Amino acid sequence: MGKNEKFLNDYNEEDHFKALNNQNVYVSHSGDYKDNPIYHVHNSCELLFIEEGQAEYRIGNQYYEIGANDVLIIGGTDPHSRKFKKVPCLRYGLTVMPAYLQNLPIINGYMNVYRTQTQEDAQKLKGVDNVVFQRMIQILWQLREETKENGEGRGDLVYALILELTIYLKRLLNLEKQDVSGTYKIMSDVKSYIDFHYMEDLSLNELSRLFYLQPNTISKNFGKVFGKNVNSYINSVRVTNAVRILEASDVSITELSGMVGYTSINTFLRQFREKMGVSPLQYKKRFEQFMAVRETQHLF
Amino acid sequence: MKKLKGYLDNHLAGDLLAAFDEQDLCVSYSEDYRKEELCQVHNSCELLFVESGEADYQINEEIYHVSKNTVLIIGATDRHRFWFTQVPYKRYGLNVMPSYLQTLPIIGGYLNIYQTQSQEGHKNLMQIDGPTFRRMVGIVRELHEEAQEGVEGRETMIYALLLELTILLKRLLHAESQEHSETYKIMNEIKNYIDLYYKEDLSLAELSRLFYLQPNTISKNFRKIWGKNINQYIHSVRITNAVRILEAGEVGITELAEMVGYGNVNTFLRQFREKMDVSPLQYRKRMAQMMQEREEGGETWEKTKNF
Repeated sequence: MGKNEKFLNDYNEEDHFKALNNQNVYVSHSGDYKDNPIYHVHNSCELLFIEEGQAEYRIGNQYYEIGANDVLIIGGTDPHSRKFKKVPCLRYGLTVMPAYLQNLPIINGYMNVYRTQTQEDAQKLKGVDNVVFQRMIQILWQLREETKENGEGRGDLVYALILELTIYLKRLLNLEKQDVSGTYKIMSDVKSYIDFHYMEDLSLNELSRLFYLQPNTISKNFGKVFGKNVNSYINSVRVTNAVRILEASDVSITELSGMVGYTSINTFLRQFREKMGVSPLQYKKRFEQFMAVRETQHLF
Repeated sequence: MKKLKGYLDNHLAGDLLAAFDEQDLCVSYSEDYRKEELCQVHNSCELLFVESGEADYQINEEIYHVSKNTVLIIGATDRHRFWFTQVPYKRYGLNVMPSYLQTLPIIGGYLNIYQTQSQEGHKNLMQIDGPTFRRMVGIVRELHEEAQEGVEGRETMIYALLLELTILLKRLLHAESQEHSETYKIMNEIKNYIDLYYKEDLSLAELSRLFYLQPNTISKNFRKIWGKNINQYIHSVRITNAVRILEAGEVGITELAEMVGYGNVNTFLRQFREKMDVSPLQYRKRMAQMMQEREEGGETWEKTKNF
């Protein structure tokens, strides 16, 4: 993690953190007034809409610079860190569960919106036309009204609003609607299975048995549809859930490793460190320290 | 979801009138400065969002008052006349075909919103709170933006906007979705059949034969779902289409009567007069006069303005 290795901090409320992993739809409006780095991973896909200030986000190994009227999309289970370059940094955040979006008609054909974009595509989300940007912010306010009781995201108005947002983003990104049948459908099923059964055996042999597909067909097509290696995706999901559990409770490493599907503790520790840059215990310690500092202001 | 047919946003009043009968969706923004009386009927459902001024609308036999922050819903084929009581009278208009709405997921279960409301229902649409009313106008304006050809994902965006509008209206009206009611589905099919086959035999005996239902089950349930007598509805559809044909071109009255499903010219004339207050020939004459006034571009009864 190098220079970013100060501390994880983030938001005021524990609720905010829990929401990133448990709510289907969650809207936040945050302001930071000094550099307040964080290294983070969660199950939901995160969309940031910057009102003011500048920040640098690192997602995986890529760096993204963002400022006013920019939108940044961070795919679910992609670890990310940030540095504020210019404060105050005011932004709206929308986190949505990919598994939830996957079940929404039409939107499920635009899942390529809801993932970390390439550097080239990320450029298309910078300096968004003000009318469109303001409408997207208005959608977030409406979504906030609709989901503040609970983040289940039920209700036709929530659907209509997310559909509108999806079309705005798809237009900015120049994306085509994906055919949700055939290979795409099967690979989505495989992905959903991984999302929900990360604690079980997910070897290619087992997936092959469950989905009646050759192991190499699975790995080839998964890569084609989602742009990721299936095994590294499985590790992402497992480590993301380990982070979620670590943030919420006190568990031993052996127990944790088993809870997220690892039979070998050493594999778990290696994967965790590879993804998060620190060991689970170090992560836990930092997280607790950050929660105590609480520098981010919640503006809602 | 079917492909959207046509999309006209305001402009020439002549085009606008044709759009009310032919386009799936039509958006307008109008300002009136003269107090005048007008009478209209069309195949589309009309929603008015009043920004300023006041007016009274007579829809079938009921009078509805509208003022700032009011939404008025006029069901398709319902005859309406209106008087502007306070000018300038400014309103956004949205005309949608029920046949288009019913193909749309979720929205198809809320067609009870897109019909003339009872006086109590209408009260819920008066003095709407500022943010909700402004958002509804925002939706209409965005629908206007989407009218531009060639925008990517246009039909989906139109669907999302209409869904948003439907839910906002549903909340104001406390309406329930009828998506899963069997009676609703069948009565909807019957209504569709009438809308499409108004020129054919639509006697209860014939509908009974086609839909495998007792004649009195049909008339009872039709009223329950759509709030109107089925025979009156059939006459409405036939007269609305007669008006549409009259507005579009020259046609003999006997021919016209047959074109809209009347075997008997006298029945046609009686029904036409009952609904439109004038005979078909008088109606055509008036219409021609009005169109001419508008084309002369002088002081006209309606100014349709660009957004």
